[in-house]
Amino acid sequence: MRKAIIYKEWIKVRLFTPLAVSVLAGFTAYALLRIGRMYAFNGAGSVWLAVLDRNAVLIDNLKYLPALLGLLLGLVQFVPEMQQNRLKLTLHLPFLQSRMLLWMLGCGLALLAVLFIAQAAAIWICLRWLLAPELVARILMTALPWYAAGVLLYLFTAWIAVEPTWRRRLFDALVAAGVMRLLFMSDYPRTYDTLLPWIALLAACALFFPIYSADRFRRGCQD
Amino acid sequence: MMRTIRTIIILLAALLLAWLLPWCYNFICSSPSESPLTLYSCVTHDFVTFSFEGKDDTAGYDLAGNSFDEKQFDSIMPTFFYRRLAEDDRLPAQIDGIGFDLHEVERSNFVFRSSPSDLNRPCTGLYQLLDAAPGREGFRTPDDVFRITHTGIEFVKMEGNCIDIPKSERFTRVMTDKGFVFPARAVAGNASTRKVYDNGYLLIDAAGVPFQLKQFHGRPFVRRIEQPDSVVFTHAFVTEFPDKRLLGFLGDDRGDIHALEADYSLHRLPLRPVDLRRERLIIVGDHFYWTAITERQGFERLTAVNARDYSLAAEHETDFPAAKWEQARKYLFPFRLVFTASSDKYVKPRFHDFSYLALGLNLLLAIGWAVYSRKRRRCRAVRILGILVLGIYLLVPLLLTGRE
Amino acid sequence: MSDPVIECRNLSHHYGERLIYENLSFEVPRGRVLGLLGKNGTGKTTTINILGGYLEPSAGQCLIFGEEIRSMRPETRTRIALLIEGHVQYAFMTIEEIERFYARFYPRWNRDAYYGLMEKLKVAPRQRISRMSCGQRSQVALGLILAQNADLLVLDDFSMGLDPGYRRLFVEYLRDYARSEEKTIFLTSHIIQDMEKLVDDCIVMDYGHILVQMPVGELLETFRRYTFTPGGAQIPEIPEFYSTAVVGAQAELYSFESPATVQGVLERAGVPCGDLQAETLNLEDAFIGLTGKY
Repeated sequence: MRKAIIYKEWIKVRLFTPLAVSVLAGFTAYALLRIGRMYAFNGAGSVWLAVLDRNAVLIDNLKYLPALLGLLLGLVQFVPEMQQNRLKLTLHLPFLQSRMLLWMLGCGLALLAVLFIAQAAAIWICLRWLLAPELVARILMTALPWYAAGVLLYLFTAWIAVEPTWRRRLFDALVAAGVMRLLFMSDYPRTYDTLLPWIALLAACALFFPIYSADRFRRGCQD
Repeated sequence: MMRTIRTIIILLAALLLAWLLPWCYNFICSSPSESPLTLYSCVTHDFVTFSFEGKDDTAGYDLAGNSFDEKQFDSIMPTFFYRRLAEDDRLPAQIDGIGFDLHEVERSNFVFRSSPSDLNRPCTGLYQLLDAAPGREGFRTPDDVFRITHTGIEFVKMEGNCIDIPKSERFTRVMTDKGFVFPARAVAGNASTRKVYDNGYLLIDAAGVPFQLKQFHGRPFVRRIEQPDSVVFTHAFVTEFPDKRLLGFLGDDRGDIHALEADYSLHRLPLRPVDLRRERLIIVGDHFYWTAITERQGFERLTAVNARDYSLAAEHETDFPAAKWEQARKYLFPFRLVFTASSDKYVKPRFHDFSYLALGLNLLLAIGWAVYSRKRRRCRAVRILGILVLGIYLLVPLLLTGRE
Repeated sequence: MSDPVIECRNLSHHYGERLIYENLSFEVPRGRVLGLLGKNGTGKTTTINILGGYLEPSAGQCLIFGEEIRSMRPETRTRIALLIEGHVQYAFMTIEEIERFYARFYPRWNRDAYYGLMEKLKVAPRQRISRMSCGQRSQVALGLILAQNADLLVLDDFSMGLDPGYRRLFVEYLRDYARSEEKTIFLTSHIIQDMEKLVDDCIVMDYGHILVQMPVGELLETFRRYTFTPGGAQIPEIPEFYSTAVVGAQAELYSFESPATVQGVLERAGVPCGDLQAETLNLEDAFIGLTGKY
């Protein structure tokens, strides 16, 4: 049955996945090429000192990409479930309902994890030849909250999409917007280091928010 | 489980409101606050405050409230307004028995700043060591950076991203010979090329002993700085002021600030303990007196130090009362959640301004909720108690999620 | 009577302040096909949603195979096939993908039943369900239900949007399936002629309560329309008379009572009914007679 759930989720995201890979690869390649160009035209020192003196992150053009992918994946996975109240079909399947949703979310999170880890790995592989480990760590640790934003926005999108009433969707969206605002407040490198454990805790909690929305759907909550 | 999830959602919304509502209040209601500059006058031997431009004819006033017009103020602050006085030929002949040499005065003026946000921020652990003898072309950006590890100092060539092993070994050997215990507790320097001379780096080793590190044509210069007994240094600041009198300032674990002169002598400044990680320290120095300003939220301490012998000249403390809009805020919000602070560069949750004065409003809101929800039985008491504690932060999410 | 598959006890539901029904109780015996009839807004879809576990009733209890619907074990849910109003399915899948998906959930999955119907569909193999016509989608839905081999089928408005050909297909397949496999079917539809061909028992709902619950055969045998010329006399309003109306000189009423009983009641009330005519009805006319015209 789990394979069937993964199969269904795959069918929903099979067009999205190559698109996401292309966009991610394209933007990442552009960011890395830009660094390469800086090297070629201005020398290694210009790149190092940009990070050291001017607190540049070098890959800041990738900042909103994980959040965008999380949002789109959430829509691609869960809007089809809510059209014509198709969630009734899903909840009627002979599988524990909260577990069903966790598996569905797990599929989305796994896809996001693969995308984000692949991107981070590509950045690490390219940059470690050019920059000292401290600078590479600085860049990647600065990017970590962006990935967290991607995961959170995916979970929030699922939470909002599965919610049956528009009134609550608005409330949920405001909460999501507040959290996103927090995650994109500062551009300073590694400024979110001390907040990361809280973000992880929030993500663990947010994993269950769509289950709550599904329960409200099942109870027949209406505007 | 659903009830737990719902509770978490409501608490999350409450926390967001605890952050955003006070922020909105501040955004709408805040008014500019004056933070005037006060320095020690070497003429009146008192603190004088600069008045804002355009505020009648007063250029400044002293602690007793006596005001000074422009001409008077220039005269009592000759080290600050020396150019204007020189133009008007009103320079004093001497101050405190010491001749007033315009050139010396100009070179002696300096401003030193230490801000908590400079210390409380993520560091890379990589630094640039300039060549202290640059030659005709002036200071150049070095082509390597250094890091201090548990075993020594490593220089990393930026081009090629590889360790310069011979140079690293050379420097490590010299530092070890001078008694440096790796790793360093603090590393301070000024890597800018826009300066007249270079004082290198001040390092505090693992044992709390300060060292100076410089580079001359790729060769190391390391000098151990003898410290007084029982003083453990925690912070170091390199200065490169025009008069070349100082190498920098050092802070110890008791909050004392020491001036390090170019001859490596240490002089403890007669300041009250300064918590450099929480308080801002500004030292505005001239040829005769230094004014040390220690600031934190709502409080300022001024200390005048005799620049010649580092003795205490005067002291003054000021408490700045909270503005009316800040006082009103205490009646509305039981506390504030903020994620940023001027004292560091981290985004993390901090609870501020816990106020029992908001209990009045909370009680009203709790009563209102009790009446509104009188038909409901479940968890009513818990929610009423929650509103009593969290006030409007909890009431709003409860109202928005109330109807199932 | 065989043990009930569906038991609803004292169901009550409100939408906000509006009462849908109160203390609704009924049972669906095993092996029977039961149709739920009622005008719009009488609570048919509400009942289906409660049965499907998608609506929490304001009060009352609903058991299927002896289990509370909202806490039903997954194994029990394999015995229930659900058709949602509009033949809603995972429209982003093709017919092959959807079969492959569902087959893993149901241990008694009958692939041949599904593909037997799919062969009649004139669609490309990779065509997504969303690109099919309403009738074709209903056929996919029917195939999935039959393949599931469930003991209970719950069908919400199975004929919605279908042309006569697809409706006939649905009715014939379901009837054969129910009879041959002794399945229990609970369904609703607005096309009462289809219901008449399919259902064994019916429940007719009015606003707030059940009007009748009985076998269709018994309903059609006993429920008649009576027409007569009242000559201006006031026709008595008694519970035994339904939908009494006077159009011009002609009066009509509906009743389960025999012609003799009806005549007796009218005469005692002083209503001339010498030309009293009784006629038996089809299910649609019986429904109109019970619930009234708008």
